[in-house]
Amino acid sequence: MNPDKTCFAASVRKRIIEATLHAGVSHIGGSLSVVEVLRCLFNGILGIDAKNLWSRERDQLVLSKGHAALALYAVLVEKGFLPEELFQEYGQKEETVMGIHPELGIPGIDAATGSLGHGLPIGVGFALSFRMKNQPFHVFVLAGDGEFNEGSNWECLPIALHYRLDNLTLIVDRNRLQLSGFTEEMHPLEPLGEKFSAFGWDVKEVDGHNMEAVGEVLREAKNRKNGLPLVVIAQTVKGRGVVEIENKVDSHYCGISPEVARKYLDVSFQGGSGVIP
Amino acid sequence: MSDRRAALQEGLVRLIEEGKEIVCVSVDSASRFKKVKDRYPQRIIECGICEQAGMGICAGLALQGLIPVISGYATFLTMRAFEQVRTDICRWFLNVKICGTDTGFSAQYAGFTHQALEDIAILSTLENIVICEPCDYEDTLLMSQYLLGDFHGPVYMRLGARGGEENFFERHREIQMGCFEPLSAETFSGPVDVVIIALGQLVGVGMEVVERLEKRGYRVFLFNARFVKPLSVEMLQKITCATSLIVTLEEHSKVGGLGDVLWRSFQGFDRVPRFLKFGALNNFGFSGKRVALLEKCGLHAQRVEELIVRTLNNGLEVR
Repeated sequence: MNPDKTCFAASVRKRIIEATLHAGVSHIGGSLSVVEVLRCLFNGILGIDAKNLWSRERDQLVLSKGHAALALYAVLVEKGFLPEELFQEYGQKEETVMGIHPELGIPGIDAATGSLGHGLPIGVGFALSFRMKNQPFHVFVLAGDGEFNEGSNWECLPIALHYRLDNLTLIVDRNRLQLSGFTEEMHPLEPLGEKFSAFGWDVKEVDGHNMEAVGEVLREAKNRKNGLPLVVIAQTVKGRGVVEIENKVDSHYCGISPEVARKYLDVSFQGGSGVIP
Repeated sequence: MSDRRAALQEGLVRLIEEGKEIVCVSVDSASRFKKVKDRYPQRIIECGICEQAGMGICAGLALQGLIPVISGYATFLTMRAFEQVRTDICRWFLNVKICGTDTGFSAQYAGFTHQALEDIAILSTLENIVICEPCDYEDTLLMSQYLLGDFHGPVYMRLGARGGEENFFERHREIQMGCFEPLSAETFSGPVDVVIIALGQLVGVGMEVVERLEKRGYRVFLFNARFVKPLSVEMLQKITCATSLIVTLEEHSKVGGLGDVLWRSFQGFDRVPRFLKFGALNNFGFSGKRVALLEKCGLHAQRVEELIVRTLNNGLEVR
């Protein structure tokens, strides 16, 4: 394991914890579950840098699970794309663009999201546009698993297949929890991979906290030319890294006590419970 | 066929030939784009019967600089995909053009599920979107050029069903954003007894009412509304100062349509004339022949004339 990778992910986690402590509350669970996926996307997968930050002529990321914006903000600030002072506004100012959900106008945000089931259609629109304009860019849509309760997501599957969108990769953050409970106890999704397969999509499953594995699967995803849309089901743990809230229903939207936060904000902290990387 | 839907197709072909990056988004509604499909099939994206995904896809296409035009039944585009229109498109002033067909009673026997009688009410709550309805073939050509081609921003254009439409004029006046088209003279000037503002194909009823009222010695001015939103405040002030009665005719529920948008616009005006609003009943619609349904709602010349005269004579506002 490259220590830099762990270091980046650990810094992102610390930022999420710190921002939650200061704001009093955040969508911390679903933010912590996507840290490794975002870390990999922004380090070697997405062709995004300080020069093309505001351009549409580059790979695009749609954070369909917009409530995990805190994780994306933390990654953007770690990358130096988002000014530190803007990041500090999260949950702090009387009015700010740095809300719970990402808005256009924030550096590095390619689509405004927050209403579930809206990200994949926008991502399909991006991919179709790149195809029509003969542009070589790739679209990643990062969606929650609970989000697959929404019909608009399923509407997109035949469309992406029909247009053979191999410039589109959907990543599902399969943390098995949604706002009020476990997905399988509420609105069962399994067998999720088989369902995507039945829609004609290519399906890959990966440990969403294993950065080597995530990096490899996303690199392959970006380079594929097989005429098939692809879903990467990232098996993750909601609240990953903060053992007190890991895999807990309440982690969807909660605060963190100063005592718990202090434990993880200690300089030696490399990812929380000690289970990772 | 020279209805408004045919004009939309012709207008889109012209815009593509001018080099505009138009992309037509079909929700199993490709008949709205037949001419484009025949000549430029690569400009059509078929989404199937998926209004929500289709509208979201339009947002994505517009964010990448293309001009998506989505067309299909107005009921489904405005109701099922309302949230996408609000959250993904209007909030960001995206250049998406929504052409809702089969508005008013034009869906006829398809009945209340397919009749768009609340579409204006729903969309007029949204900031940024232009809401308009051309009255005939030529008017649609002009509005397509102006609002789909030249204007950058979200647009909702109301259109009718296939066939069975009237064409009122071979030439129309130039489009001005938020301005009604004067039909009685080149420009509006008062004073007159009554100003009639007719939306879409009801311009035909308006023309008949004008003829009847003029025969009885009333001074009448008729506008083709064209726009429901935005409306030029300067134009409205001019109208309110120069007439004692304003009448609106629309193939839309009397709740939240052109009449109500106009009424809301009068807030703060020094002088507001008496006001009569003609439209569909606020009861979802009925199955039947369009003409019969209009008649049932009192949207015919004789009834409109009668109520205008009664109002002018005794000052009573009659519902």
